[in-house]
Amino acid sequence: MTRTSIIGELRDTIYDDSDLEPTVALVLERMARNLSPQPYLPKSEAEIQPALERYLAAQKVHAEVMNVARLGGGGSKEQFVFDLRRSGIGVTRHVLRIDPAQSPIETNRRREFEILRAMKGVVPVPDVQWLDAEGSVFGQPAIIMSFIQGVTKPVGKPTGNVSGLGIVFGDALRKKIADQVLDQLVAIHAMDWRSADIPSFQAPIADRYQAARWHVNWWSRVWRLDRVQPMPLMALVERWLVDNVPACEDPVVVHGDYRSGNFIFDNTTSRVTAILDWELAHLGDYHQDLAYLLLSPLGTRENGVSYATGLFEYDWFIREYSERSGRVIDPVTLHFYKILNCYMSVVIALGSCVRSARDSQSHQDTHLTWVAAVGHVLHTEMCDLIEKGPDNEPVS
Amino acid sequence: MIRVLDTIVVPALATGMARDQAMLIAGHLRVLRDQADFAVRFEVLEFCAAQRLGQDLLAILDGGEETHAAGATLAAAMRVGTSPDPKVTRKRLYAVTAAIEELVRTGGRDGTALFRKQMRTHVLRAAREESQRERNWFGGMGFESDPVKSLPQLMADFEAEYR
Repeated sequence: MTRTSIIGELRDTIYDDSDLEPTVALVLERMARNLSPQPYLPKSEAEIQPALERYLAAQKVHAEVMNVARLGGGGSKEQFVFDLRRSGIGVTRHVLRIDPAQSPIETNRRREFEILRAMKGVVPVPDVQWLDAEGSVFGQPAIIMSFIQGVTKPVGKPTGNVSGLGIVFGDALRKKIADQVLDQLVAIHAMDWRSADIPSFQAPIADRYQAARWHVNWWSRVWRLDRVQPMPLMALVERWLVDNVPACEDPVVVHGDYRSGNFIFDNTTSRVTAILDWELAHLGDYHQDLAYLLLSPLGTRENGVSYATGLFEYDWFIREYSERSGRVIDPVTLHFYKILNCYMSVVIALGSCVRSARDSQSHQDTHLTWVAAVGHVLHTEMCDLIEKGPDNEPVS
Repeated sequence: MIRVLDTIVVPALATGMARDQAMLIAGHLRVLRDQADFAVRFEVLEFCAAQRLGQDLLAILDGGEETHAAGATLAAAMRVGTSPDPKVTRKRLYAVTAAIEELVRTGGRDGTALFRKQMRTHVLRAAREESQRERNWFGGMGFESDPVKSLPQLMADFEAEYR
């Protein structure tokens, strides 16, 4: 037996493809159970109003529910904005986020509730107020949070495709926003999660490879459940990921979807008012957020210069993150997470989005089939990344 | 329909999700209109491309029992050709690509080192070609920063490769 084959056998013995973060495993079990041939009927404002009244009454909140309206935005959850009038408090505005029957990103509302609560005071986030974890009132799991004013892209300038992709900020606005977005990422990664009240989050500490392994297993399982058209490259990349899982010595809170479109800012002051879309948050390797944000298909090119997520020049971002966080950026680990993030994004775009729209399981079918097209750009990016390999020295 | 959406429906809708959805429907209709004349042939050529990758992999197949079993499944899937019925062709394309995906998964675990190396080359070559084709095919959706091929040009190139 050759050395290579011994290492291969050893790795296969060590690599446990059933190892998943327990809460994520429950989400995937629910997802497999919920695959339904029945089309999903989006909820109407007329249905939401009495459901909110019932829910708040059960919470012993004496309030008048007013101005319920559907909110646009991402295709992953149904969202409604509404006002509450309470004596002694006055009128406050809120957002209700509900899972559709089969979301293109199946996640757990309790986790989102916990991480938003834990992040209060760390970075700007909405106040989460109520949770219907099992969907006992709303029919599907739901959370209610405060409404925060802000925009995802410059007002009055048509820019960007769906889901906040391709937003062009322009030089002046970019300078004001990029610094804040970077500082907030550093703050997220520095958050002391060990002292935080986030019981639905499990730490990947069984061994040094568990952080990466949990994610490879998560998304390869979703691919098997959701693929609409098989893609040989996905099997090749899955194997590459299994063979190259990097060690994570010190897990941090990873946002999981940190990019333009997922934060809002005040159009007058340019101050970032909230970091949103925490549903993919988990404990893991900080390289994962960096690699995601640096993916070329999520960036823009303006006057011949490439900007990661429309905000950062690549080298500037690497240097500044490292300086501000005090963390070493390992190019091999960064490369691994670029490929993992690409793989995850293709699973979502060409698997889950297409499947959810094909089976009429979402409230935003047209949005999902449109987003799916970006999966082909990411498909090319995966080829490039696998062939090219990491190319920089560590930054510290 | 596109004109009605653009000139009557969208302007009548306030900013918000309904307006976004109406604009996306108009966008989809434009893309479907442009693809309609080529769609059946595109799928037939995709089937030919999958067959070529399958043949390339079977020609180098080497590994343990699982790899050979996955190879036999692929060979069986490849015995049928395209059909005049687009639905049947689509089903067969699915069967061939599913068998290739499974062979790549199995061969990555159980194949010889040489097979794995050659398989990687073939799969990456086919994946790159496929992703470039699909990017041109869906170029009307606006995710490309560089110009895309026109659909007649895309089809001419695809035909030349797999005729």
